[in-house]
Amino acid sequence: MIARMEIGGLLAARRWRRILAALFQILLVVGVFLFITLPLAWLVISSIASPADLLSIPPRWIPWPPDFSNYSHLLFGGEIEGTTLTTVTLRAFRFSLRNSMIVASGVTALCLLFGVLAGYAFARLQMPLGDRLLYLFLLVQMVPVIVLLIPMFLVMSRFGLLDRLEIVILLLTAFHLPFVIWILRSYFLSIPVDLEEAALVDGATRLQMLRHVILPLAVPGLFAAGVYTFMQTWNAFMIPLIFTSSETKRTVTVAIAMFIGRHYTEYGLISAAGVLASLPPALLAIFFQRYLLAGLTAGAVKG
Amino acid sequence: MEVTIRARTNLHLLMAKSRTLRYRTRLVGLLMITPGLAMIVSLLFYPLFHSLVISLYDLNIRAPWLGPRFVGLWNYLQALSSPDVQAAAGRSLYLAAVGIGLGIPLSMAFALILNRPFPLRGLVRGLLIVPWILPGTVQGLLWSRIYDPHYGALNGVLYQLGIIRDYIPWLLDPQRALLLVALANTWATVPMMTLLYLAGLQSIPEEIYEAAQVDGAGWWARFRHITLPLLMPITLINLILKTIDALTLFDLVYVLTGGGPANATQVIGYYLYDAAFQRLEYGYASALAWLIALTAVGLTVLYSRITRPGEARL
Repeated sequence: MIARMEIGGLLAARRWRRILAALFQILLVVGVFLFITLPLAWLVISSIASPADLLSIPPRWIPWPPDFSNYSHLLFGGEIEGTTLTTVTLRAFRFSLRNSMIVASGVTALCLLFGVLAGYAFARLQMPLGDRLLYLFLLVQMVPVIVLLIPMFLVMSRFGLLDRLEIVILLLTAFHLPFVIWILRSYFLSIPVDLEEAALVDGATRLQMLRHVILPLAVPGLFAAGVYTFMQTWNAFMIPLIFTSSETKRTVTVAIAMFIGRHYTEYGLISAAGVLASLPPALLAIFFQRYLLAGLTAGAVKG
Repeated sequence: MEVTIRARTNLHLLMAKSRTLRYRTRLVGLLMITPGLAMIVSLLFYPLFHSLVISLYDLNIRAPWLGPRFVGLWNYLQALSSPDVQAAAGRSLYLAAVGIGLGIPLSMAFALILNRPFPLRGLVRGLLIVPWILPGTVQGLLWSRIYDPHYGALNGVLYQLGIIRDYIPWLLDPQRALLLVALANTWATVPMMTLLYLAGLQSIPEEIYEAAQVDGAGWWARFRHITLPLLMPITLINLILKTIDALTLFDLVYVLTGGGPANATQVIGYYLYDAAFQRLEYGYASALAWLIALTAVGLTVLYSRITRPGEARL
């Protein structure tokens, strides 16, 4: 009788301990969650707070009702009375979003195109120097970008090529290409070669085979390389900062830096601009998390 | 690897069928790498070489009638002995030290927490990438909103908790500013470190823990004698990556403090930008850039030694 009660007590104690452990775990996870989201939340709150809420001391943490006028102003609005913001500034910001989109998609497309060709050649066709050349590419890519920027800036300014999006695209493509070749080559290597042989025996040319046999199989690798490149390019700062000068050529990262420099007191608007600038990479990260992680852990080598 | 070797021999057999076919394969391969190679050679290799040349000259940008003057290793000596460079490098090391001292324990703890099952695990892990993918300038904006002297969240929280009586202009104090920049930077790099630790944790076989548990090892003993040593390669990687990151940090500083107040947050990446594109000392800046690049590449080579295949595959 006593023994049975003891066992019952023991089981109850064990269950309690399990529940406590689970609660503790959830508490810890909430801690991690808050570490990540609290700073982000403040930016979002700043962007949707009404001016009265934003400028209250101490701050009103949950602005109510939310005020989305900052976003509509940034995207569609004109001059705002009583502020330093002019129609020109707002237009420049819209331009910068467009420019970033052009640059990031352009670089991603070029990197994938050249990366597929070179990656396949390095994976399957014996190249002179072969892997050694590839390692050299990667080593060069480890060099901090500013080393390359001084001579490129001198050359481009001598030929009058500054302030052109095409040049920004070319520079960023060259900078990310070695890594893309590397990812795609490893991906091609993981595809069984028998399929290619079959296609070759059937009389397909290399390029036909690449298009119809290899590429469909390499879609995850293309995604990993593409998403990673798009994100890195969208976030690029130093190259667009140095190689563009007019307001209509800036990318959004540069536009934000300039915006803060000039209109820092427009807290709501700059916060909204920051949120808008983060949306493309954030959405990519959420939708293509799996691919991104693959690219990211491989890309950690690059630093 | 086996697949590759087999692939090569099979293709070889196929190619041996005719010499023209092999010749054509070579040609196709060359054509395929040509566009990429051309870009890499002209936009990476060439500038690299060119900057090495520039670093040996005084370009006299301010006095163009003098023309470039060859100065040998003078720029390097100047960079190595400049007190400004030493101070800036010291600040970068401070960034790295905070990022490592705070970031490594924090990210290891995060990884241990996220490695256990809990509801919505995928979502939380997905969120983990967000600070890392935020553009550097937006990170700067984010933290300038938090540290804001009048309407910032930090002042608001501390005031409401009764920790401070008056709002503090956080970034105006030179002694505090660098620490605050380092904390902001740590926030962005901890998620990446956590992801690497998570990958490391997944490579530790469960049986080791089970065996230890059978032997009566408690939680702490298991962590101390299994997890910690087996995560050592990842810890080293995080250490090196963080150091390289601190050596090249630029955009966050550019937006958050602009190197100020009184150069207190002028880290080496910012100093380099300033020397090259504000003061236009191209030769000197190229020499300094090469010194930083060599340090970073040295660290990277060390890194790739640590991640030898089979030891810590990510």
